[in-house]
Amino acid sequence: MRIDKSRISGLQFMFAMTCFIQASTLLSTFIASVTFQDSWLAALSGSLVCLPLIWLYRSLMVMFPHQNLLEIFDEVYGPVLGKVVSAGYCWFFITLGSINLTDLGDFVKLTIMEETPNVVLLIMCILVAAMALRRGVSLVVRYSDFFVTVAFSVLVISIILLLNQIKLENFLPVFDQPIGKYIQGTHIIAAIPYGELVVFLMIHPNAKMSRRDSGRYLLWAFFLGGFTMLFTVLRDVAVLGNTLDMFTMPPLVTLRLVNLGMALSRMEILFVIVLIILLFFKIMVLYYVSVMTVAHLLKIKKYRHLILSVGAFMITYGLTLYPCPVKHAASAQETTPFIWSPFEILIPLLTFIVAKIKKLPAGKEM
Amino acid sequence: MAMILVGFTLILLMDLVPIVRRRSWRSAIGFFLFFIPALTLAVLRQKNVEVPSLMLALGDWLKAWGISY
Repeated sequence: MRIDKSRISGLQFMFAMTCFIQASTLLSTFIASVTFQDSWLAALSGSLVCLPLIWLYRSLMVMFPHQNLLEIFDEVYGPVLGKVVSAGYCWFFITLGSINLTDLGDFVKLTIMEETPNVVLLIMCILVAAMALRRGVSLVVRYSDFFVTVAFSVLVISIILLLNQIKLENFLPVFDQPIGKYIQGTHIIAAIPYGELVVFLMIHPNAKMSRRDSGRYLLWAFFLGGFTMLFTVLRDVAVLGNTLDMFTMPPLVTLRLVNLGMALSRMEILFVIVLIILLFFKIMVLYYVSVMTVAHLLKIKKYRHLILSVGAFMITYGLTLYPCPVKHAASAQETTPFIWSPFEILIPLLTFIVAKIKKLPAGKEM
Repeated sequence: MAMILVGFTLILLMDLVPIVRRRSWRSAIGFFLFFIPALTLAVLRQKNVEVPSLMLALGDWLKAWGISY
């Protein structure tokens, strides 16, 4: 049952995934206090570890080109168990959306709108996203290419302007942490930005692309997003060194250090704007996927009348999840990767194996 | 409190009225499945009632099993 019949191009699908990864740039904060000046190693190893995960998502997309994740569960596990697994994913998508929504609220409040109540920021974000959702996925991802270009431009410009502040000795000493810290950093990077790409298994039937293209676009998105993530961490370490963990938002502090005489300073506003755009995009995708999941679970063909109630729930639920950003960061470092891993790795892997054993989808060769 | 009630009434008018007109009961179930918890959480927050965090509770449960960093 295709609920949203609007279509997007393969390129839009690719840029949407890139944007989704880029929106997690702020999450470098989570690994900064785990691996310190070696955070770039965690970012690199996290990216490499995720290559098989990307292959897994690509395989599911190729095996079931016309079915979203919940339809795949129905086919692989049957209608009853499939619905139970789908309900779990419904919680996962809504929680993920709510967490990112409160992240956006906290970030905006901390950087540019200190006096505005948090809840007002969240309501404004959800209302704008709801307007996009009413028009379907085509409007949700329409400007992803523009957002990716802007994010890349700001990253490149910031690196150029910070060349005079970069000290290569800030990377030293390398491999100075216990091995467990590298594993923790790698797991955080794998579970939080990259594993979340599982949400695109809900959107891929709307993308017009061949089987060969799906793999190509997925890999390109992964490399473009990973490149941004890695170079952001590299830039922050090169400028801040092992003081990286002292700041709640290292990229913001790094850009604050741009100072070319009286002419160019206070560059962090560019980063703030880009990150607000990217986080908004990520929330919009998660919001869309959450609404689609609810509509699919309840077999509702017209999803428009669910948008505002789901949005209202995401706001109020999000406000209960973490009492403060410090608790959020601690949870992201200690337990969240374990909570997310079944949804991002174990269940998709199990689904792939069961589908192979049952030779699904029937009558199709991969 | 008044703002919460106005906001949620607007959502009711915008979405529930068309649902009732179309007699789409599945849509009504989906709508109330999120509308009622959202309204409840909003009122509890307004009354300064502390709602336990699901993520922190899950985290504590995992820590009790030794599954954490």
